[in-house]
Amino acid sequence: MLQKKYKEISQIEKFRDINEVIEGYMPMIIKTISDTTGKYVSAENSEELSIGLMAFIEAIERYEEARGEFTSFAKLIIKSRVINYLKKENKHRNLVSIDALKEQGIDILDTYIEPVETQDRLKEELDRLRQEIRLFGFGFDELVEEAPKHKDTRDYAINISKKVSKEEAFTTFMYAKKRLPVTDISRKFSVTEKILKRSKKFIISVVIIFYKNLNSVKLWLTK
Amino acid sequence: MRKGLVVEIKDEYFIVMEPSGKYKRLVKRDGIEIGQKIFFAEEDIYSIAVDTGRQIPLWTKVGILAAAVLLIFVSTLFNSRPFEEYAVVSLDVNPSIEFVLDDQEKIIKVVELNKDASRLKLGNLKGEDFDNGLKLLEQELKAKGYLQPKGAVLVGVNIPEDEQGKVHEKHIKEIVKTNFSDSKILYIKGTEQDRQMAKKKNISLGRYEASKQLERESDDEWMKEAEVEQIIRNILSNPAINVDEIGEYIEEDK
Repeated sequence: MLQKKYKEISQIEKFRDINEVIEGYMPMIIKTISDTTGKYVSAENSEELSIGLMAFIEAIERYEEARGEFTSFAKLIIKSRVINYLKKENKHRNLVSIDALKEQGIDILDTYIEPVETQDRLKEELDRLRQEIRLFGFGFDELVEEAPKHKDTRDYAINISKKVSKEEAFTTFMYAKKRLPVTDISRKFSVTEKILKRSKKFIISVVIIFYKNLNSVKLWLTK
Repeated sequence: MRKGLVVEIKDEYFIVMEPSGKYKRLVKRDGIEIGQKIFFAEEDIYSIAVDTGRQIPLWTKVGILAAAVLLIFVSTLFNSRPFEEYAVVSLDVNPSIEFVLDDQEKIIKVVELNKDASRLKLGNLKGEDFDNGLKLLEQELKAKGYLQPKGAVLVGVNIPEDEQGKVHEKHIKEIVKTNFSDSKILYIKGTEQDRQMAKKKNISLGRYEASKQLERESDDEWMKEAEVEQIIRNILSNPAINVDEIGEYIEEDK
């Protein structure tokens, strides 16, 4: 039914599955929610996103050409539903069920929402990581600049870091001298020194994540 | 849409770690806490001013400000496309691929238009900037044996016709030239209507546009199956077609 209605509003999208259509509009949905609440949309709390998604579907159902451009119309509905939700939130929580969305064939949220972990644990681990990398004379700010820009290079660096974290001799050296044993790592894993030197801060940070067993951060990083 | 884990909060901005290991500075908003996982967009990225130690003259500052105001004005005036979709670039080697870009020239969607395209590893291209994405695509095409030196590449581009669009188009063309420098490239521009027609027929914008120029747009089989080399040859040898009017033919050392 929804698919049929969508076909009417957009000839362009008519060959696509409804979930694909929603996926295409997801940045707009998230941005509208975020603009309305004035906050970033949480990737763990599915409630805001469910409200936005329900509103988007409502927009598809209610849209008629006379209402103008579809995107502007959908934004209006999303904004209005989110405002209602924020007002109600303080009095009684009106939860939107993901199952209700699934019944309509909308299962896209599963790919967007992160499993809820205790934020305290993550915070604890990140504080630890920050303290540890400070011992090596840098902070997260330097990692913004220094983490390899290219995905393949980054994956490669993460892979080397994992191996290094398992070698007692390397981690002992690293913590004693506060630097990477570049030459030894290069020999042991047949990596060029250039790669190691170029990403040394990034590699140190990932070695720490694995060596100190910062499991929640590890889980995030190795997705 | 990108996801980030909040790792540190500073006075002016905060830092997130993406699942891929990248770190980004983002503009601060209410309710941010360390350990939170959030969605963010390109526009949330905080750009830090680098102090070069050089004084910028006042008139240059005024000039930059005026240009920025003009750019914002022009872009809001002309850019009325839905969500982030800004331009479409299709590539046919034999694999037929279409990239949808946002106005930052970031790849927001990759469409595989034929079987050969689905044999390529394209999943990692979404989210990359166009230059990087094309570099990776070129490597992948070579690795899978689809692209030979001096091979033929058909490129179709649809982009807004305004001033901003022209700047982007020039840049996009440069990126194509640089990344496919040892190929023969036929670069063709298409209108929004052409793009919709191509989409309807489930072929690339480049193939549709070339077929239209050759007046073969009703021949579905030819449009889908004709070899890229042959399409380019037919276009170049057709006296009724002025290549410089429909786009450009690029061949190093021709």
